[in-house]
Amino acid sequence: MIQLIKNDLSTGRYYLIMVYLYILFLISAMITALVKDTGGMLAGIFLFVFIAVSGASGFIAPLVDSTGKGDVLRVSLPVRRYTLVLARYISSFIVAVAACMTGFAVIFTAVTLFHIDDPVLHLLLSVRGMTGLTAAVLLLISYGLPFWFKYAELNPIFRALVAPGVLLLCIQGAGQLRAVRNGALQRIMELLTLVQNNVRDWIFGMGVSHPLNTVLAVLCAIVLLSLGSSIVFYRKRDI
Amino acid sequence: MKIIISNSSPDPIYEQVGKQIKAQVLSGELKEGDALPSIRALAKELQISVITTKRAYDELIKEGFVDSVGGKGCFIAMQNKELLKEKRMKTIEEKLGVAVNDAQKLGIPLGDLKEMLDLLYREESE
Amino acid sequence: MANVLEIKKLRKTYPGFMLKDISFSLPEGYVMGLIGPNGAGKTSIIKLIMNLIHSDGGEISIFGMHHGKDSVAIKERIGFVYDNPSWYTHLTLKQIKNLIAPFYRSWDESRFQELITTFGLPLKKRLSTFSRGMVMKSAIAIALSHHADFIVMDEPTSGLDPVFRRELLDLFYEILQSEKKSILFSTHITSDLEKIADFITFILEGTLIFTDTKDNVTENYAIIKGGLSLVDNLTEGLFKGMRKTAFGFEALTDNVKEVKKRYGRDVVVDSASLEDIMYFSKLRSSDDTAH
Repeated sequence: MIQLIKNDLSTGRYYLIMVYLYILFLISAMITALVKDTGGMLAGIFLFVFIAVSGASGFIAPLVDSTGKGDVLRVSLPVRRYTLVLARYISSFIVAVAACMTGFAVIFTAVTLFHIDDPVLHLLLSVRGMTGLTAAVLLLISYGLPFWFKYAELNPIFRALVAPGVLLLCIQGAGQLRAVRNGALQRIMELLTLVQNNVRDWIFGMGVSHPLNTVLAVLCAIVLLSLGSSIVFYRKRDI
Repeated sequence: MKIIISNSSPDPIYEQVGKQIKAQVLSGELKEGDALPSIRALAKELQISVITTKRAYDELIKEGFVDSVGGKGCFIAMQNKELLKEKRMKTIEEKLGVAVNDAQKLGIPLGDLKEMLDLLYREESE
Repeated sequence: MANVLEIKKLRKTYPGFMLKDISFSLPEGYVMGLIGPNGAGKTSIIKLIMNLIHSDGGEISIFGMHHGKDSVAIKERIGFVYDNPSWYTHLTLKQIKNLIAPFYRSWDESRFQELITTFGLPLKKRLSTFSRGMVMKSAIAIALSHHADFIVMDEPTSGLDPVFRRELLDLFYEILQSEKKSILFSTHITSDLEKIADFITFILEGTLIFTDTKDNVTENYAIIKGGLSLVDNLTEGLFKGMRKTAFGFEALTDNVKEVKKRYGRDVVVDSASLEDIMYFSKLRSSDDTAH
């Protein structure tokens, strides 16, 4: 199991190149932030979209294992299929969390270094922002992995399902950019908080618990659901 | 021990192996108690399949040329002198049978055949 | 004699392809060649054995264990070589080895090093720079480095030059010196591993044509050549696949004795190679579909 995770992490080196690239993106976004006050939002969008896209496609799958054939080797080894699934989840999460942390670190350094006063960046760096974003990324990975375990490659069906999501994110990002200009950020944030509270109340009855716990609980439930379906899919799959 | 396998021979490979070992027993090259290579070692040397070698050995055991000593391998069996002679006679008989058969097909009378045999026998012993 | 592999009534349906009730077994300590033209279903059978794909019916037992339930214990003792080793080409052979070796309790590093040296493989070059033959050699080296009791190979000789194919043969003979080791390989190039195979299983279009010892196959099968006047309805059952020319016919039979008895000196009987058997059987099956 540990060996499988180690293998995933060591073969996922192409992913690291992408991480470097995205740090460059972040930094350039920071520099834009010095000029205009929209940079913070831009950085946030970069961070989220990048991690989401790579995460949702089961990060290693399309980047390293573009043919989906590594499966043949893994399944031929003396390992159970559910162990393979579990290991892939853990390694995906490790990489995703590490990428998020790197992102926050870069933003934090930039913010303190250049004394950027951008509301979005400050939100990103708050406990709430950090947990929220990380949770969102993990959720997206949880959404993507079952597809990967069912169809292996970036199969047409899979793409058809993921692409609209990414598009939606981009449109939303662009919309928010305009919203910032109109000074409507405050209103959007209020709306988001409202939605979040509603969802929380809907799941846990009357908003009893601490927001952090709620996020964790919802996340766990979804991750377990995703893991369960991945195991079922992978067990049944012909490789 | 010498064994040569021919791929163009009409005889199956197990028979080729068996025949050559038998011939060497009959000629005295292989003596009673001589160890034969293990089935798998022989298969490797001759580059033939294990089961073919096994079949060759099995037939030799059945015909009494070879004894299989459990765990130790195969050895040339103790040969009954009379039996051996009988076996050799039998092979000669078989070969003569082929000659007779061919002669009959060509319509050569027995007398001519006998003359031929006389001639050959004398030539060989000279 | 225990069977290392036992397959009973195995079925698998793909769109446009079907494995139909395949049954055969391989006794421990022997070599089986799984032959058939491309697309006959050899790879599917190997994938079913390795539990990569799921059957639609039938049973597979390996080392006397259920191939699904005990798959981990079984795979620990299997060395596998696939037609198209699906490795990460951006890694070096050493890195690949490091990915695989920890999964086998009986991994023998010195054996691996020895094989790599014999095969002349570079440890520190990326796999993307390897030729097809080198990739195949690497796969074979890895498969032979954990003292597997059962070696399963899909087209192991494709992409290898004749000299190396011979060397490989020696390697397999060495492994076979132990009575506990068995080998199953599929191939459509029958000539090179034909020597070592104890059993031949012939698959054609998802159907088992025969499974028998190689000696029996070469004894019973033959190529019959003769004049066209001999070809009549009687020959139907006797000849499996026939090629007619203006000067006569060539046909495959699986019953040499009967042919010799019936036609005697009117026909020429040539020994049939496995390749002949594949070719003529294929002719017959395409005839059948045409009618």
